[in-house]
Amino acid sequence: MTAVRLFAAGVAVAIAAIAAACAPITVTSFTERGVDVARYRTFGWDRTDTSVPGDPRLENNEMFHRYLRDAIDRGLVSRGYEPTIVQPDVLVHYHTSSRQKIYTSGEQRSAERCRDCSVQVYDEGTLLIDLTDARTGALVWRGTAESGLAGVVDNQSRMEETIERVVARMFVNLPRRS
Amino acid sequence: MRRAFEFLLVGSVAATLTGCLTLMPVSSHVQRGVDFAHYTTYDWGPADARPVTDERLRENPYFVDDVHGAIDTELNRHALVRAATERADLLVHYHAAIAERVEVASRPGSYRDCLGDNCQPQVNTYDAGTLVIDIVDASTRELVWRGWAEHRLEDMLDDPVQVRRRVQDAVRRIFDTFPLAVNPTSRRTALEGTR
Repeated sequence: MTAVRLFAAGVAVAIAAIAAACAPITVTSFTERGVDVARYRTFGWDRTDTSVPGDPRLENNEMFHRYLRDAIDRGLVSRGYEPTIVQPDVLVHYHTSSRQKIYTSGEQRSAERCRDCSVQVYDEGTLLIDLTDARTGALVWRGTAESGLAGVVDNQSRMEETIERVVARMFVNLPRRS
Repeated sequence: MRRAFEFLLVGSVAATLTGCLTLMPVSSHVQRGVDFAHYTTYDWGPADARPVTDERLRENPYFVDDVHGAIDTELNRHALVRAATERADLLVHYHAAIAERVEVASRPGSYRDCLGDNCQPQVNTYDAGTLVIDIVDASTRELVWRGWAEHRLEDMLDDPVQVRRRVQDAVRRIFDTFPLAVNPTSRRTALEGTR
């Protein structure tokens, strides 16, 4: 093995390790039909729901909720919306939860044969952000994100980076105010 | 070359995964920007409505005493002194949450190239316990630190000596991540520096 090849292999290993640690994020969003979200200008917070079903480490964890709330604030501001505490146009509300999922890897050749199969159990966190019309209470936009939490909650810096990444990805789908 | 690469790849992925799945993980979160050096006293805060949600633990007289004792010991080790609630800088409380979780019984890779029933992974359920210790700033009433340890519940229903040993070990490891120094002299110097 030449030095170059060894180096290439090393880089590939590092990339694989990072990819495995940073679980993929799945993002979806929904806009109410006939609603022009970008016509709303200001946003304010609805009551914060600090329960996190499925994860006692995050349940009522102010460090987690404060960071998440600030990230959502920054995300909305980056899309052109203005924070206010006086008569906002839309109210922001979020909900978080966690559950275990089972992941099977390998090559299923038939119902009875499997090559290099293995099974992993991992925690998957779900974040749901709702924007509702402050006047009518009607839902105008909903974003959801799912992300693997392996090694995330137990490392505060990594948790903050994950929140940052997830929220940024979610708000890509929110109509930008011009 | 290809085999060596595959070997390295599988090895690194496995290392990353097992790194996240070690038994009895212990960790904590801290409120950024809070200066812990000015805290000197603590008291037990108002208990949760039900600090220990599982009756198997609640009915175990040792468990609750052990957790209390271990937390007191660790706070003292970090040079925090117990005081009357109205004079305490910090309020401490804990709770033990129990949840059913699943785990894969077979080792990863143990059914490579499997056939028939061998392809069915063994998935078991077990009761997982999470001990959460919260420390609240008494003046602002804000949570400034939370530490936790995760463990199998059955290990906490063992004989009292084993339970005490595990609780002490868990609480000690949780407090190893606490932002205050253990060494009383360095702590005293730090405190004098803040006055």
